[in-house]
Amino acid sequence: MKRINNMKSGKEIERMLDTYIQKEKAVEVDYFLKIRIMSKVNSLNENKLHLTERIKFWQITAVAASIAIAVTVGISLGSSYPSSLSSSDKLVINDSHIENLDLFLMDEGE
Amino acid sequence: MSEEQIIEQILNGNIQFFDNLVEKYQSMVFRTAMGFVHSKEDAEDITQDVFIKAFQSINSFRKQAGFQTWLYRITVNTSLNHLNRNKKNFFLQLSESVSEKITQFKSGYRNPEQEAIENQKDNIIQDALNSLPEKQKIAFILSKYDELSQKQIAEIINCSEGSVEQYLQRAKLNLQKKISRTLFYE
Repeated sequence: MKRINNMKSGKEIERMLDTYIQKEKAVEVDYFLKIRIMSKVNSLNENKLHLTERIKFWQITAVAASIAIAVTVGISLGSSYPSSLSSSDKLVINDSHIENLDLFLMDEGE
Repeated sequence: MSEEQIIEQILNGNIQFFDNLVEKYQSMVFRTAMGFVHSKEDAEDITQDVFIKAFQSINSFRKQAGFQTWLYRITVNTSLNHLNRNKKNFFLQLSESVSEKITQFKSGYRNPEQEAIENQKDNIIQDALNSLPEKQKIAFILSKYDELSQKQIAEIINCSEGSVEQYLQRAKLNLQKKISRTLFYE
């Protein structure tokens, strides 16, 4: 008898669950939900585009700035180089006074 | 236009094509979310979150699994996160549901006594569903609300079909136990 009651209640519960699930499944999506989602997606995309543009701008600025810095440093180094050599430091190399290299290249046994 | 072509278009920056995906899948996402949260407003919020997450991470979508499976995974995760977050706001939720009931009662379309009994039954079923362990809950909702096959559920939750069958059986048993305890022995 208890088993029959259990089976009865089991089926009743199953029916209750099915009814409840059908009721929830019958709830329809709000018509404006799609519009809400798309407006949010559009605003996100715009923000993303702004961010990409900003990143691009800073990338270009960084490249331009580094080129400008490289050119300036190059010019300043180039212009400072001759002034660092005084006239006394200048070397006069006369090839005729250079020792004969063959003397150094000769093997000891020769 | 096929789904793959639509996704390709979106990846190329033509986001107006995302509208097609929303149109096609919003009912599916909403229905699944309803299974988890049992509230139209919350399910709509979850649906919105799911599509935004999908849009933001569409670059990482691997075509090995279908788009639908991928979207189901996002929906399940978002719904579970929502439930976990709302556990903390239990008292706030309770007061909201009470005020909702009062509004429904004031509107007086149905017999208040009948309404109260129906609400009580619904609450018992909701509690029983919410008390299920996570995997059992997911398998049960995907099976009952979305009428997915065990194979599809297995693909979504990354387990074998045999495990899904077990989850479903255990979920049914747990629900029966929980509901009969509160309904027939109280």
